[in-house]
Amino acid sequence: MTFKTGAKAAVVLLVVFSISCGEETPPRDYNRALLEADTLVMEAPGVADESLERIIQAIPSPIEMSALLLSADAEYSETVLNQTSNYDAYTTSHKQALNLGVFGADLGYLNLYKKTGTSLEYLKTIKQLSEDLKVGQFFDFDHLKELSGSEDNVDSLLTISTRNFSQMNRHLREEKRGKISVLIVTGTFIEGLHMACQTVKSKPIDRVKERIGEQQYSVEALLAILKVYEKDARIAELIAAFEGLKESMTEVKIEIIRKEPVMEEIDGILTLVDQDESVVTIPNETLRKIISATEAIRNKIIS
Amino acid sequence: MNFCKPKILPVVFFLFIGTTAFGQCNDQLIDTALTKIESFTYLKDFKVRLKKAKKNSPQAARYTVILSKDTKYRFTTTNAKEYPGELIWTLYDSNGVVMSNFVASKSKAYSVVDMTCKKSGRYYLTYSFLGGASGCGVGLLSFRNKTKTIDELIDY
Repeated sequence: MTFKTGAKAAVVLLVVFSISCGEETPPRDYNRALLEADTLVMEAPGVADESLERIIQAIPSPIEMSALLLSADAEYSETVLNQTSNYDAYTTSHKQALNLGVFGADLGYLNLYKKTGTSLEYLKTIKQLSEDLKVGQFFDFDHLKELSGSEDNVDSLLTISTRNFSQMNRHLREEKRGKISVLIVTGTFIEGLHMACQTVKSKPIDRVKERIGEQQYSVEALLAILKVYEKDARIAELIAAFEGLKESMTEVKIEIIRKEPVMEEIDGILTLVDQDESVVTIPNETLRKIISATEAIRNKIIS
Repeated sequence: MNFCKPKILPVVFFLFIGTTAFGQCNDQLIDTALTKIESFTYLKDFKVRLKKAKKNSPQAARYTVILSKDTKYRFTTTNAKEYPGELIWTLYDSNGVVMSNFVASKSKAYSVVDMTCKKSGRYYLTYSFLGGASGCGVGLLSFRNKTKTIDELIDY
């Protein structure tokens, strides 16, 4: 009797399986439906838990900013970094998370500028902070330390450390510790912007100025994820500060010039040159305000 | 009894395969994906796992990315072999579709696509599996300066 029941269940499972494996032509309006589904994301900042991942993914990695500084011949400056000696002041998970992000951005900058000796010190502080936050398992410090020993390993070092941060953030969100993840991302972002701001203060490089103005997109995304936790008084303070930063960016003008893209296949790789161009205009007074607002947020975070 | 035996075995077999496949759909897929970025520098990964799409209800994973001008981006896709789906993506901006890795005229999904970006801003990336199949895959976003790799920048 039991066996027969089992057999019936097996037949049902087989039927279900064969149905699920059957070819099904996608609806004619499949792409249209995808596009419509996507417009929901365009309006994103309503933000439920599941949207957090998507919006966090939107925030650019500080490595892009550091790479821009390097390519624009901006000189290395140790003064733009947070000091590892500040570690002892970070006794709450709020501060630890923010500064884990800050030091993460600093580590990328140091690696890109081949300051591998100093980067070891930062790696050690990142290790301490990540252990304080109980996410130390995502960093293979011995391996990272070994890679730091040679200037030839910078690319691997960047990939591994960026990926470790990404894994750690994903884990935090899966473990319902999204607030910590959001704070890490906030710290990372502000440190990248701070580096760019300090660079243009000493050397007004147009490409870097433009990039600073373009950060209005990231500030909007950051505000959206911070607002998920606005009931936390310390995060409410951060939101107010970032609203100020957003306000300082209102005079930044971004003009889009539309042109037809050029697409071709080169050695089996599909290659697109998107001919649309953005032109950023950022008045000096606006730049000054952005720098000032960034310094205020960053100083509060690292103090 | 005779009727039942041959029916049970395939079910057990498929259940077993399903469990094995699940094990493959993990971070190791990102390791494989990383081999495709070559001289580009890793930025983000998007792990995508979707059920088979139902009629008029496409399964898709959607992300927002902010791309910067004067940067060359590489989008790669890697599929878990144990699943039937082939990962495809479409990049949109506020004006509509910018590009896709699936070229309909060739019926081909490219696993490596390079894009030279001249317009900074918000873009929307939608991942799905070709034909609405179920699948597991990883989309990877990497970058380099428009003219130089990170290694070249460092040595410059």
